[in-house]
Amino acid sequence: MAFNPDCLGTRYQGTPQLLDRNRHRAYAEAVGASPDEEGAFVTPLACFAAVYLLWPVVPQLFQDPAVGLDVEHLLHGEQEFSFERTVVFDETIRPEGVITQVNQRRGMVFLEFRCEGRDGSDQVVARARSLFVVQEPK
Amino acid sequence: MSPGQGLDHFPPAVGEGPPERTREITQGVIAAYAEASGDHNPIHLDPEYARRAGLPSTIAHGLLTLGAACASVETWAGERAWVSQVSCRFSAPVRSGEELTCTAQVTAVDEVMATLELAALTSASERALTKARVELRPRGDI
Repeated sequence: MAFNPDCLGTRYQGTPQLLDRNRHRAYAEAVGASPDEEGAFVTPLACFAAVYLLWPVVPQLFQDPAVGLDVEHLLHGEQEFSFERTVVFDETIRPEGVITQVNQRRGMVFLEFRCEGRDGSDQVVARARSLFVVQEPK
Repeated sequence: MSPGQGLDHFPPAVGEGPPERTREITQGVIAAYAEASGDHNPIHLDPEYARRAGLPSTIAHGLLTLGAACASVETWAGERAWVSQVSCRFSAPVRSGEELTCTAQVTAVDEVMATLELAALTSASERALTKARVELRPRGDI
């Protein structure tokens, strides 16, 4: 499966993600966050929300035969998240993503993928920019 | 403010930050993160697949490393501030079984924002993250 440089502009819609406390607890324990005195996790919220902004759409990108990313040789190059406000438990974020830059040089593919997460009022709550780097077969 | 205490004022002073944290990133930690995040890429979970990809072992998710580094900042910021931006470059993989030491320190402040630089150092003395920053804003300004 060869990488398709004409994939620029390809869009992906993710299923809405509920930021519920059970998912948050599992996430917080996995990243080693500290619970409060009552054993509850109040934080981290930013990266938790970011994960659920990305993962409904990133697998679509990785598995898209029309893009042809060789995920076996994929490196996570850069990552940036920004937030318009704090997210809160039990709200739903609807993610979407788009391929915004594609470059091939020195046997590597550089693919920039931007995501936005919108709340129930269709306002953007969070944005993500990911740079994926893939080593092409020699 | 001494290390270990949370942020009790805003803006914090340059040089302040959460206490250093070291944690072993076991395969169990990686598997728990895969389950929590839904990212089941076999490069994180299947040693044979990881070897085929040219790695000595499975590696932690990049967002597990970033999440671990950022979590200590959010815990420290508590009710006083919220994270408005997180960014990094993933510069070295964290292999299963390695220890990861995360630090964060305020490097710039103004009335509405504090910038912290994050560091995540593996037990092989490799910097897992570079250009890693978190921006905090005081609660109540939104």
